Amino acid sequence: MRKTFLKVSLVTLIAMSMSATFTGCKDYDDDINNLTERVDKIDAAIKAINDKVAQGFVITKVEPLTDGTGGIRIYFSNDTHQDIYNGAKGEQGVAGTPAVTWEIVKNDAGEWVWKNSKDGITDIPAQGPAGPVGPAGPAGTGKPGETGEPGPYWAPNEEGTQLIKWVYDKDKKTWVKDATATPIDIAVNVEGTGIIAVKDNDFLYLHGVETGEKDENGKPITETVKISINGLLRGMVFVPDLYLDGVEGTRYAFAEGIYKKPGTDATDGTITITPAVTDADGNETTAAVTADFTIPASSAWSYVDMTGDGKDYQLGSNDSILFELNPHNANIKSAKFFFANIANKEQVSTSRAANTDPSFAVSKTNAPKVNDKDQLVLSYTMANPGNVKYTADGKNTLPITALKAEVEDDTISSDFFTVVMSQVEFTAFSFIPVDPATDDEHLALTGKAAIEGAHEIALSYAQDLDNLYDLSEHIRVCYKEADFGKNLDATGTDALAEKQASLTELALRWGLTVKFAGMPYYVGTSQTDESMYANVTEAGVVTLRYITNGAWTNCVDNAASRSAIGKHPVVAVTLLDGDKVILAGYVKITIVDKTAVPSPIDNKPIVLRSKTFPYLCDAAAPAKNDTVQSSWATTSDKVLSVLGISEAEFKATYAVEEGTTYVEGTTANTFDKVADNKYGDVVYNADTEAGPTNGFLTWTYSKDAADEIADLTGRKVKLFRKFTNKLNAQSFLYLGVEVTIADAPSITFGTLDPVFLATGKTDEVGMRVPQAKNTLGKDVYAFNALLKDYYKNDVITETYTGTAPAGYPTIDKLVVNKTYRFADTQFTGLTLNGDKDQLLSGTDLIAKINKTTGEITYGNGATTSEKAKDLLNGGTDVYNIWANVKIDATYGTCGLAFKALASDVVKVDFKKPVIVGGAKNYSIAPNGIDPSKESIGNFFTLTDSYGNALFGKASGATTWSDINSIYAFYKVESASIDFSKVAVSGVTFSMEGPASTVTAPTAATATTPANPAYVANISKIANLNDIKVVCNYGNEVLEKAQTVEIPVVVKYSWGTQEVKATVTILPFPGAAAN
Amino acid sequence: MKKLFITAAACLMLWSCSSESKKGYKTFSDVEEEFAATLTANDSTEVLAAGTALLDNLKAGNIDDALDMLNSTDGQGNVTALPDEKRQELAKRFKRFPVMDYELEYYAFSLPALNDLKYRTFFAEKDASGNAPALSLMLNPVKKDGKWYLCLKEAGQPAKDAANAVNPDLIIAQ
Repeated sequence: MRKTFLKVSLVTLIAMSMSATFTGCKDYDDDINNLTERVDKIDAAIKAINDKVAQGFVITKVEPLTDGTGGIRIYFSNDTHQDIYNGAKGEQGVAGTPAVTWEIVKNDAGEWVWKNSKDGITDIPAQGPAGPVGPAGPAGTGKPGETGEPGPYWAPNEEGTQLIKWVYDKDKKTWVKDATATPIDIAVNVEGTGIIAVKDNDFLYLHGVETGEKDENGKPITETVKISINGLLRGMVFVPDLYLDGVEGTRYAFAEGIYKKPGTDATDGTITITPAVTDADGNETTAAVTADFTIPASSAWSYVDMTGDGKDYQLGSNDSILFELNPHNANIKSAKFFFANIANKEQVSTSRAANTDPSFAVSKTNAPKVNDKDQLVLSYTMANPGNVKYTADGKNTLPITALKAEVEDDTISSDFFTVVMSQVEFTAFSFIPVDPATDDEHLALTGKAAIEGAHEIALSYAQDLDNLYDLSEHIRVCYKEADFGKNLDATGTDALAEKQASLTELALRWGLTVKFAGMPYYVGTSQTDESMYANVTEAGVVTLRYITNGAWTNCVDNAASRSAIGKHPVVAVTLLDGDKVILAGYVKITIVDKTAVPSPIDNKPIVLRSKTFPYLCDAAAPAKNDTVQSSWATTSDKVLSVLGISEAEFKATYAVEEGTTYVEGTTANTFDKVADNKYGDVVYNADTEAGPTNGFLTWTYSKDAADEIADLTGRKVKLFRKFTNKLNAQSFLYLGVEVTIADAPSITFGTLDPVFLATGKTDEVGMRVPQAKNTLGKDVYAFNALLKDYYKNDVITETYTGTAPAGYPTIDKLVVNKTYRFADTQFTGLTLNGDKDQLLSGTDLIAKINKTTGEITYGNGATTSEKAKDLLNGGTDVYNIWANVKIDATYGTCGLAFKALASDVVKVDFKKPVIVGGAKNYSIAPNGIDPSKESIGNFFTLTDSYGNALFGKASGATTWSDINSIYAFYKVESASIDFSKVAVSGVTFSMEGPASTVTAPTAATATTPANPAYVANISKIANLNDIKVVCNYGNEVLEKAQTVEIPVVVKYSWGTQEVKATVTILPFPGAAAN
Repeated sequence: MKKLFITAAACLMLWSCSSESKKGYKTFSDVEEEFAATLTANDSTEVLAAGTALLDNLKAGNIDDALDMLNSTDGQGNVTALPDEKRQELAKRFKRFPVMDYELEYYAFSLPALNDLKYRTFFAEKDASGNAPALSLMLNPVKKDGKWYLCLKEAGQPAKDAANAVNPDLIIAQ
């Protein structure tokens, strides 16, 4: 039966204990510290116990401590002991907290029974180490007595909290729990009781161990710790990497292929001794120097597939799998681990040949061990893995196996699991790239390709014999890995990515070795093996040599060693399985002069200085702010020290390519020329007296260059000058600076003067015609205003939005150029002209704005269009028409655009110059003799946009007058009433007045339409009294009052408005009496 | 890890974009909690009942009936019937490793298309010590349109007790 087990870590409870609540008036921090200390000590004690057991020592006895701590002393088979108690050592235990122990002992009758430290030996039978002693058999009759049936015994339950009764079922021939027996509580931890220890033949249960937490009543929360007393391995639980088809499994890498053998043919070719030298435009200035070479057949310059027996290989990797152990302190040293045969071999193996069975084996070199999570780490390998690889159509075969362990007389087995085969193919040796972000470059596959190829490792003849070049540190192996049915040969989007393995990994994981050896070949007519110029150990250490007087001598930094310059030894590198070759690669070494060795920074972008410039028309003052300059000090740090040369040597060795600058290419470590140096020039200061603070490379700001750079991603560029090594035409340095053009700044135009803002608005103001009695000589048609007048002190003051951007001058020095126009979004139905300085309705001008001054004008004075007038007089009482005015801005003398403008739109409401109102509840009371004649001024009101009445009745007066003396300013013209629209019974209306003041309705003629309205000329205020609305009674009798609405249309300088006068016609007072 | 996101990414992102996280990002644990909040006791009941029915069928030797209860998923929540080839492979496996008995090991909900339902199946009779060789059967229940479907756990799908389990603190969405 698989057993579960407790895995308790008190350490993790420390964090939980931090949130525990405390009673009393103790210092909170002290309580935390005390709890932490106590839990730490308990945890340390348990770990010490487990470690002892894992080392192979058995817990032999437990007994309660008598020092009042309520603790337990645990004894081991090596006569050592470990105490464990709640509370920190040295504290006085609370009186009455004795520990209690339960253990199995033999009584006087020789029977195994339970004994506890409180009650002593009990009569509860236990299972002794050799099983319970059964009762004696019946008396014999001369024949040997029959063995009695085993008697019942009591054993702890899984948690060790109760004793459960077990009885022997003779039919099933096994022990079963007696369900009728009441369990005996043995771990009842009442208040005042210390730790309770229960030890049976297999486990020690510690109950009442404090966890560090307290319950809501402030009482410590305790738990049970279960410890194997002998570390006997009882179970292993596989920890899967993954699941495949629902089966838990682990990935396993294997390789298979064909071993290689050296080719048998000789070959020849052409080697480049010194490469061609080209100028900046790629034109060859010095031709390459070449020579013929020959490679004898015996040089192993290439490898081909073996043939015949033994050509194929299947390599299983050394991998590891994890298992949880039961108990987690199991002593694995006493266990012998092995794998079950593959349970479904007949289904998954593709081979039936002898000695080709796939099988798993525990590693002989890496012993099983336990990691810091108490997990078993089992290293293993597999024989004939290729025979359980994927099926022809790439399906996983799911070979099933299990791990077994022989422990004493028992064999433990884990559950079965599957191994997910992952096939590996070693593809090539490669050079480890200096920049991890770049791809590996493969070694040449043949010696001939290496000789003829361009790639070579340049080593200076002036080698340090105490620090020789080790090729093995620069080489690794590339491979592909296919699992889950992927295809090693897949191409296109399914192609597998190449991975790399270090030589160390090859050895540890695959048991493979790498061997280095010189590959003999001859250049020209020389009888000397070119590869003898380098002695290469099997481990890959290279010692350059030269020959003198027929003897080979190690190169050092002397003149004689220079004879090795220009030689090209070739090294063969082989990947071996034992002595059989799996993979081969070749490296060409070129022996060069000291300063010709390509440096680690060759063909790499080296930025010596970076700077961000503000985006301005002209360089910001003072002058030094317009450059980015790298100093010789920086150059020394990033270049000279890396090259290991002085400033003088640099100038002697490197020549700058004149007239060109470079940027990085699209692939790593490539560079492109900048057309026309459009990002500006980077000037190289080759001053022979350059000191550490003098400039080395200098870039100077220009608007044109800044424009080009601002168009680039991130608004920045790394700009380089190219330096060529005069001694090695293939060695280039790209040194430069990084220039960033900052974003254009953003500005805000601030807030309008609050005194002008419409109620509840932040960007809306009103505009009206001038005051009637203004002293500026303005008439009613001067309907305009300057936008700036709506700002404090009549000035629109711009500021940088947010923090002032670094490098930019103060706003007052920025030179902000403002212009004004109408914004693109306007009142419905209105459009803009091309310059956006006119607001139009169709072709009618509604408003205009001066782009330079920002003066806004409604209409066109006295010739304002009727449409503009209609818009002005329509809508609500206050205003109906508005315009969004936009402030545009650039900066600098060249007019650069800001990144963003804020608070740059103002809504301007155009107020009605005069507001016409209809009379409210005006009564007409006829006297029955004469028709009622009411002054026309009774039927409406006129108020200007300042709230002033255009006419009224002075105190005590009965007629209308120009009470504010503003009537004439607004050029009121007429009031028209169309009585035909008045629905009334019993009366008729008409109008009369002094001569030429009233125009009666007219009928339509051939040329003119009908005019049904009376038109009263009210240009003079007296006419408001003199012109009358006449109300004639009909012959009918009005018994009741009726209220009618009389439409009145008033025309003035800025158009017309129609209102309704509410009039009540009263019946004649005496009519009812008749 | 790349495989995880290929198979579970779509489901993760769909589920994680459903609401704003107060801390400005969402972890896998957050996403799990969101999914858990949509589940009720009925979901557990339904999933366990389906698992029990499947295992009972296998135990009774009704392999075809059991395979009828299994589906395939593409890891993005889409469920299809088991392909014939897979059925044949699984039939062979269940014949080679019959289910003599089984026990539920654990179950856990994470996402609509990523959950664990693990059984231990015993493919031989128990010996005198009560031991029998066991083989796991891990299912990946998928909830689609309010209904649960049983699928087998595959290599690209993390499981809580495996090394490819998703780190609960993994940030899924910003």
